[in-house]
Order: sequence, then C-alpha cells, then structure tokens
Amino acid sequence: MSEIEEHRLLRAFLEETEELLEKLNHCLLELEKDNANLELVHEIFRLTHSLKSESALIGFANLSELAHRLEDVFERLRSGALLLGREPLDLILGASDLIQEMVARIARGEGDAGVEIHTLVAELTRLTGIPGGKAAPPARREPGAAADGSQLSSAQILRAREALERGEQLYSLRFRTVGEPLMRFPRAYMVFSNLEKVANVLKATPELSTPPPEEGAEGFAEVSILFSSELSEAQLEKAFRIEDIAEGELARLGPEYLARGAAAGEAGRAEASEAPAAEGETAAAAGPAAPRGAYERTSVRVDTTKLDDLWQLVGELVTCKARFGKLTGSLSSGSPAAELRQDVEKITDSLERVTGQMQQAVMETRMVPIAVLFNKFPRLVRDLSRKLGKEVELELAGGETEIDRSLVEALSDPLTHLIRNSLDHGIETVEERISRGKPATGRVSISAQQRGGKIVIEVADDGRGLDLDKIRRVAQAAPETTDAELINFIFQPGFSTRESVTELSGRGVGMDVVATRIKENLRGEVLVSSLPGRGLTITILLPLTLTILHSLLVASGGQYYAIPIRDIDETVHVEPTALRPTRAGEQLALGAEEIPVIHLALLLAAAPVTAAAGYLQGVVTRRKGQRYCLLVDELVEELDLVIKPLVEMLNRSRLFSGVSVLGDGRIVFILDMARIVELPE
Amino acid sequence: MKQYICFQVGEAHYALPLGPIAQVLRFENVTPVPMAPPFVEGVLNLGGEVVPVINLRSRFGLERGAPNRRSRVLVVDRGGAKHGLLVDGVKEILELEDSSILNGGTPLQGLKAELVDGIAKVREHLVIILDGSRLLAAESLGRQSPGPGRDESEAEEVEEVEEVEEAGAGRP
Repeated sequence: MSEIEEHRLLRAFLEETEELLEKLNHCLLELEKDNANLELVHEIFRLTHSLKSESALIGFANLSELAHRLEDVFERLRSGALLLGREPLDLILGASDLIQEMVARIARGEGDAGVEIHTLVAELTRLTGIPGGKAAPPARREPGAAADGSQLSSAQILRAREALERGEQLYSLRFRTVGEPLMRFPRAYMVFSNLEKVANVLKATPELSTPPPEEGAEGFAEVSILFSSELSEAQLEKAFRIEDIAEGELARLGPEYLARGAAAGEAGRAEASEAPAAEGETAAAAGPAAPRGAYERTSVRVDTTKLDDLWQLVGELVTCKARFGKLTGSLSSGSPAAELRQDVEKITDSLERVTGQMQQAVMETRMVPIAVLFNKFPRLVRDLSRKLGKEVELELAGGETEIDRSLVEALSDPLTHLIRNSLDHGIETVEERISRGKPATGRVSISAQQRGGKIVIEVADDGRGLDLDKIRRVAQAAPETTDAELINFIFQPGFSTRESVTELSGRGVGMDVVATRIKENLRGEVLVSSLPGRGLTITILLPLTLTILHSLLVASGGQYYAIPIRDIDETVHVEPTALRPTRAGEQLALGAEEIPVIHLALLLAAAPVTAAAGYLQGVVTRRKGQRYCLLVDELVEELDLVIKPLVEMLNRSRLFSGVSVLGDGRIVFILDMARIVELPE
Repeated sequence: MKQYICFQVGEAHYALPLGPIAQVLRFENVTPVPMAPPFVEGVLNLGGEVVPVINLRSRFGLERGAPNRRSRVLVVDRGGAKHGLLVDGVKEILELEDSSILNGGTPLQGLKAELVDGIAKVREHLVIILDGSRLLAAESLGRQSPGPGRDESEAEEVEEVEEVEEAGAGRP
C-alpha cells in the first residue's frame, strides 16, 4: 500500500473525526444544562455511532470500542432505560476526554493503542448492563471463502469506498482453473487481465499481477478476486473467457461488506499482512495505528462565496495579463512613448488593486471563527468551579469573530490561564460573595470582536479584582508608585500574591507568560482594568493576521533584511562624525539625545562596515523605554511581506523572526529587533 | 535492485537512495545565512519555499572549499521539509542489489558511523551508502538553545543525534 494513500485515508479520518468531536463536545455541554433534552440524546447517539464506525473502518480498535460503549449508554438513555444523573454524566464526559486524547494521539501518528480504556469501558458497561467486552466479535472467515473485507488493507478499503462513491458496484469472483497445473497461472492470469479491462481490481488472492516462481503454479487452482466495476453482472459475465474457468462464481457485494470487513479489525489485518510475499514490504504500513509521523490537519473548509470572490479576482488578473500582451504588441508597432507610459500606468494600477484584493481574499480563507477556541471553555469552567467549590457562570460572546487560524492554537494557553486566574483568584466563594452582597453565582465572560484593524478579546469576571495594597506590599513598591504601575507588577516573572500554591494557579508563573506570548509571539497588547471588590477585566488586542507584515527593507553587507515598521521610531542619516565611542560602546548624538549604536553588518559578522556614501542610514527602535540606532548601508523600500517561519537550524542565534521571499525571488530575513538590541549587552 | 544517486564529496564517493531526491541543481542563488552553524551553506528559494542548503564537506569534517562549476545541490524531499545538500559533483545513477551492499564500519575519518548505511564496490571505487534520514535528522542536532551570544555556532558539534524531525512548517 502506498504511503500517500495511507496519509490520505488518515487525513480524511482525522478531519471527519475532529468535526465530529467538536459537535459531540458542544452537545454534551448542552446536555449538561438541559438533561431532559431528548433531541440532544438522539444527536449524541448518532455522533457516537458514526465515531464508532469511522474508527472501526480504519482499524482503530480502542477508539471504536470506547465509542461503542458510549453509543450503548446513549442507546439506553434514548430508550429511557437509563436516567441521566450525575454519575452517568461524569462517565460520559470522562469517555469523551479519553476519546479526544486518542484522536490527538492518532493525529500525532502514535495510534490509539497507548490509552488505557478498560476501566472506563468496564464502568460504562456496568452502567448500561450491555455485556460484551469487544465490539461484536468478528466472524472468522471460513476457509476457502473469498477474500473478505477483513483482509483488505486500509488503502484497499479507501479505493473500494471511492469506487462506491463513483457509483460502481463491488463484486467478488471466485473460480477454479482447469487443465494441468503448469497452465494454471496463465489461465488465471488471462481471466485477470480480461477483467482488468472492464473493472478495477482491488485484491486478488493469490496475487496475480506478477508471475509466480515456477513451482508455485499449484496455488492457482482456486483464485478469488475482489473488484469494482460500473458494469452489471450480466455484462461482466461476457468479459470472462468462460472456457478457461471452471466453477466460476460471481457475486455482487453491498457497501456493508466494507464495514463488516473493517469490524473484523486487528485479527484480519494481521493475517492480511502476513499473507503474500508481495505485501511483505508493506506489512508495517498495514496497521494505520503504527506510528508514522504526525498527520497534521492540512485542509480547510472555506466559505464558497470567498472562493467565488477569489475566482472573480483571478479573472481580473487574466484581463491584466491580456492588457500587457496588447501593450507588448503596441511596443513593437512603435506607438508614441507618452501613450505607452500612460497604458503601463493604468495596467499597473489595476494590477495593484487586484493583487491587493487577492491578498485580502486569500487571507480571509485562513480565518476561522473564534468559537472553535471558545468551545472548550465551558468545560474548563465547569470542571474548575466544581474543583474549587465555587459557583460560576460562563458567558461567551462574539464566537463568530474570525481570527487567523494560526492564532487559535497560540491563544489557547494564554486564555486558559486567564480563565483559571479568574476562577481561582478572582471569583470569591459563595459565602464570601453573599456576605459582600454579591449574587452567589460568580460570572466570567469571554468576548471577542473585531474593532478597527484589531481583534479584541476580553476576559472579565465579577470577582474581587486586584488587591493593590497587597501587590504594593509584596512588590515592596515605593509609596509614590501609581495604581497603574502597580498593576504592571502582575506581569513580572515570578510575581504572585498567593500565600499558598494551589494546583490551579499561584505558582508565580502565569501572567508574565501570558503577557510575553501575546506581546512577542502574537504581536499583541494586554490591558488590565481592575475594579477592587467588583471585578477584573483583561483585554487582549491582536493584529488581524500574523502572516503579513508591513516592513522596511534595508541593505547591509550586500544582503537585504527586513525590519517590521511597528518596531521603527524613525530613520535618520548618520554622518560618521555624529558617532562617538564611549566606554559603554558607540553612541549617536541625535539632537540633544545620545543613544547606543548597533552596526548591523558587524553584528551579523557579514562584512565590514561600508560607508560608501560617506554616511550610513540609521533605524531608530525603542525597547523597554530605551532608544537604539541600528546602522545599515541603505534603506531600500517599505513593503508588505508574507512571513514564513524559519527552521531552527537556520536561526540558532534567534536574531530573525522569520523569512520572506521578495517578488524577484530574493530571500530576506526579518530582523527580530527585540533580540538585536539585546545582543551587544 | 534499488537506485542510488552517486556523488563526490572531497575525494570519496557517496550514494543516497534516489527516491527522496527531488532535484539536482547547480550551485546558484544560494543566500548566506548570517550566524548560522558552519555546515549551513545558505538558503535557496525553490518556488517560494525557503530551503536550507547543507554543506556536506563541513558536515563530514572536511575543509569547506569554495563551490565550483562541478558543485551541485541535491534537493532531498522527505515529505514536507526539503533540504539541499551541497556536494562536489554528481557522478551517476547506480543500480545496486541489496546483497552487494556491505554493512558496518565507517571507512573514513570524520564521518560518523551512524550516517553510513553500508558500502558497495562499484567498479574500482568504494561507494559509501549514506542513511538519508539520519544525515538530515542530524541537522537538527543541538536543538537546545544555548545561551545568547556569538559563540553559538560552536555549539554545533554537539555529539548526540536527535531523531527529531525538523518540522518544515514550524510555528513562529
């Protein structure tokens, strides 16, 4: 089986499963709020059922087993034989967690075998009273029967499914060859090759595509072939050379044949991989559970209207191209120069507009609703509040706000941390709340919206807010420190006002990590607003997309580099006379100010400083309140760059935040200014 | 019968399985990478993809030497992350039986044994069959970030080989 097919199959499986799990999670949370909702029970039953069949089909036995048990539970709930109380719900959520973990493992290429499911399976079984440790034990195939689905590899199953989707039928053909043993292979091969003209052979037992070693012809007395074809049975009969066949038997197979085959699971699979020598090479690949690198989800669902927009833009691009073609024609026909120039300008204008819109449109296809991130928080809040013995209600708003898909993962940890903080530090216990005249149930709200060119995410609670006096004490701040400055202390590494370290928070790591991730990795901002006794609101501002960066292109030592515009205070001409060596390094007099100077070429050890023009260009940047001047040979131009990540091997010095390819194919490194100004120290 | 691409690095002849070799290029338009480890020759733009080029001479502990017109870059594509290997010239495509490859032992100084898959005798030459995945996995060696400073490139000679695959599309 080819590795590519294996990949395709797994990708498709993961994609379907992830969507399924998202729905499952959502339904489970709804169910918790409204446990009498029969419609939800039905829906979850359907979801667990598909999960069971999908995973069985591709051979993930553990996953399928657990999904099966869960399906049983919902079957019972559906029929009213079981009531949804605390205990069933906990078991169900536990099972759903385990399923998530297995899928995550499968996505990493580790398979589902490493997860212990037996305890939970036993408990679920006890709950339903439906016995049977294994999902319907596979019927062993009788000796001599046609190769059945259990012997199919996952790639063969995939091909069979595709054939069914094309509207073809599945058939199995069994026949005996007549005549002397030596002629058996040639005769069987004749049938096989005739069949190949009108059908897609999925599997032949024994293998017929390669001739056997001479003495092996014995084995071809009986042959079975599984194939798909768009022809009817009657048409197929004609395709066979009947005189070569004895006791031929053609049977049409229904689609359930595939599911049955897959349910036979591991046993059949192992058998199949041991079978003919031709499959020996792929034996390791036969079980998709074998680790084979991670299968990252790479495909995207895109709103078709976005694709339509893109298509239209492509049309305009083609028009631009045609206009250029025409222009080339008029160039050779010797039209007046002024006219030509006007034409060029016009076309360049429309080209600029079209490419700008295209950039926007492609960017939009990368966007996903932030709900995919928000959806995991109800569960988090539920579990945490139970653990802490607090009553907390979670409000989510703006889930439809679209964010760049690269942000989803990057935001997950920081937001989780903020919510934990709110529950652990912010929201008071029920007694405390009542004694303060607050509603017994605390409230945490998470909202997202797009405002201007930014995504604004707010995590707010109605808890006790920041205890500024305590921060003042712990931080040993000077008496004149303002409240705003005090708030900033919570972003200091290791800062915590908690006396005791809890499992949840208060270890002194946290807010600083949140702030660093958001500021440095996501190029965002974090704002804090605290109302003592009434609550805390943390606001995160993020740029719409991370992958396009407005930059200044500079030249140094014969190479181009890009500096993000947001890191630039100003650019200056630097006369050599304005540079002054001091004990702390070279300084540049800039008006009344003296700021440290960094020679980019020296820093990168690329080339000696060249001041060919008699002067250098300076890019002034600010870091932690201090200004620095980065000296380069030349300022080239301002432009938007599409940033690509840089492999670690190329960025040991961590001087670059990425790499980009210019229109002319030139590669430029994007300077990480924060790192650049730190280095000389 | 398996196909190999046979090439020269220094005086010795080496071979890699032909399968993962996506392209063979002349040594052109390689952009140097400031402050990269010595075995990194630079980066190459392959249709918008930025591909690191590894100098096999430095990799094998030979003197670096300036690339000349016989120099070639073998582009290895192992599903996802592409790498370029700078060699001193491509010789031929070999067809070798597994049985004609002798396993074990590294014949040359400076070449780590784990990079060698075996040795084959082709006409009068010995050809060293390299283990492509190890050769490139080794490129991610020294992944731990040593402290800041310019001496980082020296950290390259870390002995252990991590089997961590360099995810070409790592997150920023």
